[in-house]
Amino acid sequence: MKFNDILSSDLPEIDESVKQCVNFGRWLLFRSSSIDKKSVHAHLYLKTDEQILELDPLGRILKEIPREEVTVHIDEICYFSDMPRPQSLSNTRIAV
Amino acid sequence: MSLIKGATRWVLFLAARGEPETRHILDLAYGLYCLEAAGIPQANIAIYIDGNDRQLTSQLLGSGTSNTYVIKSTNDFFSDQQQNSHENLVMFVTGHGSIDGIDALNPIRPYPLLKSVKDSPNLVQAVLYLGQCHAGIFNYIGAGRSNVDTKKPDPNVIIIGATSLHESLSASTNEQLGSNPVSWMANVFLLHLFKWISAPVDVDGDGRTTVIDSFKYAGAMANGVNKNVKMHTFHQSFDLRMKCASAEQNHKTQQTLASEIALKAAHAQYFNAMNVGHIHQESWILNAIPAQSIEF
Repeated sequence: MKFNDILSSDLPEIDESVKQCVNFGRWLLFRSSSIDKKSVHAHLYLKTDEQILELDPLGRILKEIPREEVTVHIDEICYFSDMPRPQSLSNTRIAV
Repeated sequence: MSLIKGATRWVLFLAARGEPETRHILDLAYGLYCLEAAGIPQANIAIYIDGNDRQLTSQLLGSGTSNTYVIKSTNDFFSDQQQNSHENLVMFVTGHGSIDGIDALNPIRPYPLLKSVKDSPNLVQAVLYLGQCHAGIFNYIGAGRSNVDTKKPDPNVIIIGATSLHESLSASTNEQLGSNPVSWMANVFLLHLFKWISAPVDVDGDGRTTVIDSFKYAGAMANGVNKNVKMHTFHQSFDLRMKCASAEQNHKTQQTLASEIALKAAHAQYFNAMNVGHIHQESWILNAIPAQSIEF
């Protein structure tokens, strides 16, 4: 499993709030070659709290994949390099 | 003999009634990374995580390790304890919790968990770190050794909770797990506990790094981080409220899957800000006297 940075402009159809959820680790944006692609446009996947969604190359949501029908194998987890990421909390110094 | 050098079973534990949340698996992935960094051998680490998607769980858990681990379900923990051969047990619990106990198909309540630990053969002492919401319901139970004068005294159990009768707080972090920069909504108390284990600090200055030091470090650091997060999200919350209202309006008009997901994303961020602002977290320790002499 790899971790990869992409530009937000590469996926213009993804809403900004969704991109923030991805970058702050609330949701997962990933590539997978193992999910059966019935849609030839499937390019990326978005895992929210309860759903897995199939995205086209521009980030447009194609459909929801029923959770019980897939075993997910992630090839690559993606973050947006040109949007804010959280800071490391484990290296935080407490201000007094 | 210290916990790390002695015969200690290190348990990473995530129970769930359905599929476990990604953030909880990543809590344990970071924990595993820190345990290995502390020099704990793979053979002494046991992992119990519920859910059907074992492949995804295994991948996420492996974010910071090159070793392969068997991941059992949390029911197996109780049967495995009946075959225990270790002197010490150190257990880390993440996931959800409520007044019913640790979230699971059959929620795990305080006495059954304590009984399982107390009844473990060969066990001398145990330290349970509980990160879930409402961990305080595991406080005020008979964790200390009760039959000291007999030939076979029961194990001394120390229980440490991230929070009392409240929800516990998670916050976004970005941590380097090996060469991988991973972001997730981390359980703040467990994050600092694991960090302490990978690089222990003698908080009380007695020349040793003990269980009580781990409690003081994780508790103080979590409180500090939570204050900072509250201050930050207070300022953000006004903007997040506006975005949420805008997404609601947009979804009313469009009624598409995309507008629904955008609304969920805006909602999640706004309600997280509200949660953080209104939840109090305070860590606690039960059976603190032996915790002052058990060294890592």
